[in-house]
Amino acid sequence: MIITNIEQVPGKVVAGELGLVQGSTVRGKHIGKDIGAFFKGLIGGEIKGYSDLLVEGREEAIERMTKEAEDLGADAVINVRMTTSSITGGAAELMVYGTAVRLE
Amino acid sequence: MKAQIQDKIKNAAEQFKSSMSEMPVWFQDLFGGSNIWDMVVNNGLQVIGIGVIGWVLATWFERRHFRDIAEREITLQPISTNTLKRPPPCEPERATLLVGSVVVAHDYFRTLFIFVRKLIGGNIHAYERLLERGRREALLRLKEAANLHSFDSIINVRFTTSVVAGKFITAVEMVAYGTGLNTSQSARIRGGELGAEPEGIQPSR
Repeated sequence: MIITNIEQVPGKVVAGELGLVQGSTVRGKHIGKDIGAFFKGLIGGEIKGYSDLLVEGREEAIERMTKEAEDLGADAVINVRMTTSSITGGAAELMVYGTAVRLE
Repeated sequence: MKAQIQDKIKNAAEQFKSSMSEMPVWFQDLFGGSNIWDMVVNNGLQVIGIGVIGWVLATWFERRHFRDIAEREITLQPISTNTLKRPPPCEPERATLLVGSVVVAHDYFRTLFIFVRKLIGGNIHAYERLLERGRREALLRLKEAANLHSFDSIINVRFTTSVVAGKFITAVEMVAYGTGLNTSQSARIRGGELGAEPEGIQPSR
């Protein structure tokens, strides 16, 4: 599965599009990470716990999108976009969407 | 049974109160149930001291981070980035989506000065620095991901920012993503741990 965020797959020809595919996850943080973040707030800077959590969440969202594309019989997903939104305190939604295409 | 437990709780509370009275006044104010403004009024000097220490530490860590970013930017300079939607005319071998992200937060002590600044209006330098720092770090991580999978250029780079609300702290997430292209093998960064040959790593996000 090839994933790109441009409107083509370099070096290959797109044979036909199969429609929108998307994947999303909602991730919460456990209280230990929140306490760690509280102490990190004394000096500011990167909050490793949240960073890792969102990276994992995004990977899972991309995996779900890839699975949906595979179910459609696609070879690649192009023009991928990402959004993050904070739902409540301590949880974030990560969403990835793109167009599934078949290659020649 | 119930009465016994109530007695125990009462005893514990009394013990806590009696041990509190032996503590310094500012400690009592902090943990003894009164609010932060009582602490400020009663112990101005200690509060200012803690504020100054926090300020100095935060500034020091920020400068260190900026130095670190500058060094890594020089190392990763050969990887070209742009926001073009089309790949360059030369035939790329492979292409994949790459992501770099970071969550950064502001420190509590300097936030007080932002509160003052908001009354006057104008540029809030502290937040400008925070966002610059986060965005440069996210772009660097994107470039590091590209280097790991031996891509030499990233096209169609996009940035998104979102607010991540934790239970105690509000942080900002910066994401940079783009399509990594492998146009020529010779452009790879040689030497150093970043340029290590990826063995058996499938190019993926």
